[in-house]
Amino acid sequence: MKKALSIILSLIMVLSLSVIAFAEEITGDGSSPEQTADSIVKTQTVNERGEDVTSFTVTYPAETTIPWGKTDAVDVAYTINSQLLFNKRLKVSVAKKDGEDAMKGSAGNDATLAYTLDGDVNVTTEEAAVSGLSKAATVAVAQDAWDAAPVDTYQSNLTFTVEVVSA
Amino acid sequence: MKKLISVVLAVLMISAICVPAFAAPAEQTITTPTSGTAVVKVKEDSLDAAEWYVVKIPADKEIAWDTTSVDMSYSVACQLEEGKSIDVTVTDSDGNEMKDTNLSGKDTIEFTPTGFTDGHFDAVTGTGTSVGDASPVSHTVTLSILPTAWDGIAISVYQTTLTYTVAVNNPAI
Repeated sequence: MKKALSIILSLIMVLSLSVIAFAEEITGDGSSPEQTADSIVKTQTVNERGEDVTSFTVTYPAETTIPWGKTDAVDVAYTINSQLLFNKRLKVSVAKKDGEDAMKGSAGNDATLAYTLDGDVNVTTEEAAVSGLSKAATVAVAQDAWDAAPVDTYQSNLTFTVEVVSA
Repeated sequence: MKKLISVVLAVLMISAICVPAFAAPAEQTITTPTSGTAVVKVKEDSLDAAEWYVVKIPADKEIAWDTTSVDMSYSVACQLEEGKSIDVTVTDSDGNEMKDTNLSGKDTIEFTPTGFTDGHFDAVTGTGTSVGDASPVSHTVTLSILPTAWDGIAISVYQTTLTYTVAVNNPAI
């Protein structure tokens, strides 16, 4: 009986322990002067489920068409949206796919069509949070390249690389 | 041994005898049909009935990213002289904005406060006889944040400081 009672009392004591949301009290009486106290409200960097809330999207075209003989640079436009930690930036690189320095013709056509890639091929955002930032790489085919190539459909791939980097 | 115990018990018994303090009768008795007057008086003694108030404000609070409502309510209990009252006002340090603590306030999160300025409490508010056993009444204070306020800003720690000011109002002379 004594053991049971001691166990029960111990349980009651333990259960009475609670985590207190420490609040501050301002106390006084009828003659007290004006008093103040502060509470700080601050945000976390995760949502209520504890999940990372950083995000980014880079939207680029699946395909860009160049009319035969066009020598003016053609834009390959892309758009950046990001919301990163305050000390991070988004870096976007555009490059010719490895091993594809020139556009290749269709099956049976071994000729290639040289082109240059320029413009916004290496972009690092200036802010951690950007919305609708428009950039454009450019593709250009020189006149002599057009002249040297049999008429065909030539194509190549561009690689977009996106990284989160430190500011 | 028995004799000793009996002596001790006798002494205890004698010491328990009380001498009545003859005083004026506290009761008045009516034995014949008539009427009498009993005066009931409540005496205010400032030394025994001290004024007090307690205002409990919330502890510092961290809120999750994307929170749209923050409860910063406080509670009040008081027992003051008649005619007095208490005003509690809440102000924030940054013009209803939480500022980025890492980028020197470059980005901000706006909020709309409610309950900041309407805290007026009568001389007797809540229950209790002192700060120690006070049961205060709550006054709602809320910071409302639009969902869009979280968009387009760097992920960081944003912060503001709320100041709770308590003032006792004395009746006009």
